[in-house]
Amino acid sequence: MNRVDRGVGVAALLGGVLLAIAGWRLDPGTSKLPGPGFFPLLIACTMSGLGVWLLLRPGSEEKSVSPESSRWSAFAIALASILGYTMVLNELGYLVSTFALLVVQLRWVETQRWSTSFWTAAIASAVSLVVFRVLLKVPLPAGFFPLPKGW
Amino acid sequence: MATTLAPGNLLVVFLGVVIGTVIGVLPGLGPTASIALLLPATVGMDMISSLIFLAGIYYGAMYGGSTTSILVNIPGEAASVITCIDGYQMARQGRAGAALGIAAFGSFIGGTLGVVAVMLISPFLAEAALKFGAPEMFALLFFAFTCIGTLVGKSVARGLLMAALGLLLGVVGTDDIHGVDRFTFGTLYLRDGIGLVPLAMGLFGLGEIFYNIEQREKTGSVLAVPKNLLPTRKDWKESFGSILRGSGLGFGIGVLPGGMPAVASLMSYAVEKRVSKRPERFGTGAIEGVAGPETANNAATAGGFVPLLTLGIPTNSVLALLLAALMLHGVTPGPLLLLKWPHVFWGVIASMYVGNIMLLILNLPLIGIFVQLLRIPYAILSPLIIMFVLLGAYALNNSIADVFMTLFFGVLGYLLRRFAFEPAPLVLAFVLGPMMEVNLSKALIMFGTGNPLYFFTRPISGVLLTLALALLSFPLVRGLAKKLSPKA
Repeated sequence: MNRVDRGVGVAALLGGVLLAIAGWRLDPGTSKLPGPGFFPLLIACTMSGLGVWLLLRPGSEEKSVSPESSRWSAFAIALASILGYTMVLNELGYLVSTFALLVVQLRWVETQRWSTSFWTAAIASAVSLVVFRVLLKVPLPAGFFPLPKGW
Repeated sequence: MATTLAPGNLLVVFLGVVIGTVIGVLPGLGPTASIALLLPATVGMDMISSLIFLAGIYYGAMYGGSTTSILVNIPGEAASVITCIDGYQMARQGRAGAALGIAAFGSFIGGTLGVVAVMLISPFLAEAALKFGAPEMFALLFFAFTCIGTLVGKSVARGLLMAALGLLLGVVGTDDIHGVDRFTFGTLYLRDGIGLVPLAMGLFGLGEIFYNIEQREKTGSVLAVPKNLLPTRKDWKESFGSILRGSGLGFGIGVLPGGMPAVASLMSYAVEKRVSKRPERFGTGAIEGVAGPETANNAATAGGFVPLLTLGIPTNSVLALLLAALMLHGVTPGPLLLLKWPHVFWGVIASMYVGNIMLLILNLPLIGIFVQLLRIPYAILSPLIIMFVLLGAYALNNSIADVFMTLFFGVLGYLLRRFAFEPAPLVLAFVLGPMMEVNLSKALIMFGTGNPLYFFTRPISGVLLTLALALLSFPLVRGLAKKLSPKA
């Protein structure tokens, strides 16, 4: 059996059971007068059924990904940097945090040279600030970096 | 037509198709993520302008996708994957001009015939749909749900599971009927439900980028753009039947829920190979292998507007976002659209004619310029796309929570892509789910007996539910038949 299908089947079955409990607590009502938990309960039954189907069906060949082509560290850096970006955007402001995000992405995820990373990040963050904050009037967080009057 | 031909709207159509073509040319940012990204920017536009702009992006992307398939062997978007097979072989044999030319003309013919069919069919379908009550609407949505789950993706069980997950995400928030909070975990943010835009941008935008970061594939070299892009008389003769078949097949598939342009192009390729007198040519540079699929994906794009505009049912994730765009402007697509907002309906139809003509006029002479975009290294492009996705997510409601939500769905989209799960059923079920729930509740209350078999006592809902059940049981019956048949 396909390992992914087996894992997802178990998750769907367990998720379905948990969802059924939640649906029951929300009050499913009756089939004459459905309550707020009625539809979630139906989804729970569907999910559990599909989980069983995935567990029982004969699996197909699993497509293996060659470890050489995988760039796990780059993916982890990309994910961590975006997570960090969302946490500091309001405090640092759009310009500084976007510049930092782009430098990290370009330098460590895409392994560009320092100069390319720096200038691309500086130009892209400044241009997008002007386009969105000044021209499109999107209230992007200013942060501590002083912006010209009227921006 | 006068609405579309207004100078402002002509400019909007032009911008839409150019942006769409660029998106189609550039790998890594498909039409779903791009429309999700640009959706907040259209809030300030008037209703018709925003819709024709977004629709222009959609069919522009279908045109643009073929260019990279033919010249680089990399599909710009999913519907052009199949074009790589014969298109790239033709280019390697020095016939890139014929491949690009027939792809553009095929797209134009398929798109235009598709629009004519939309125009002819929609008013009748809308009139018929006016007679639909809650049981019929529920049955229709259930049929759509099963089509989406079973037709999209490689495995029915996986497709249906994605659709079920979409339904679950759709119930998050305050219940419209009873006013009860469901799965909000006590947060104020989730009371309004999960937003379609963060969900689509995350699944299709960030998810795709994460996957590309982790599984970086080497890109091929860009083949030169030939000067002559006009197909010869022989090319036309070989492609004519494929273009006609592709138009009919593509439109038919586009109308079906789950009938994405990618499915249409794939099926067209299979049909062309089957009807060909020399099927062995397919894969070695057969022009029919380019003409059929490219026509079919554009015809399917047009076909998808029939259920969207007349029934309010999106058949793919891009159309789900167009539905959101209409709703942002207070328009509820469905049978009443033609009665209440005829200018929206006919404005969109007219813009599709104009857009198709613009694409043909623009694309052939400008292919060289669009191809230059491929010289921008993906390593530079990828961080910029991330920046725009995050910016788009923030600009939606000026909220960090939307950015977090986009990131969450980005990770989910990456995992789905990594383990070969198709995200489209999730998005479609997410959109259809709340409508399904409301109509199911109304129908059950209307029956007053609590017996769901009453759905089968009404002809339309009975037929639709029977079709849906047949579709669901087909894989089980097939599996059983396989088991019971004696081994060869």
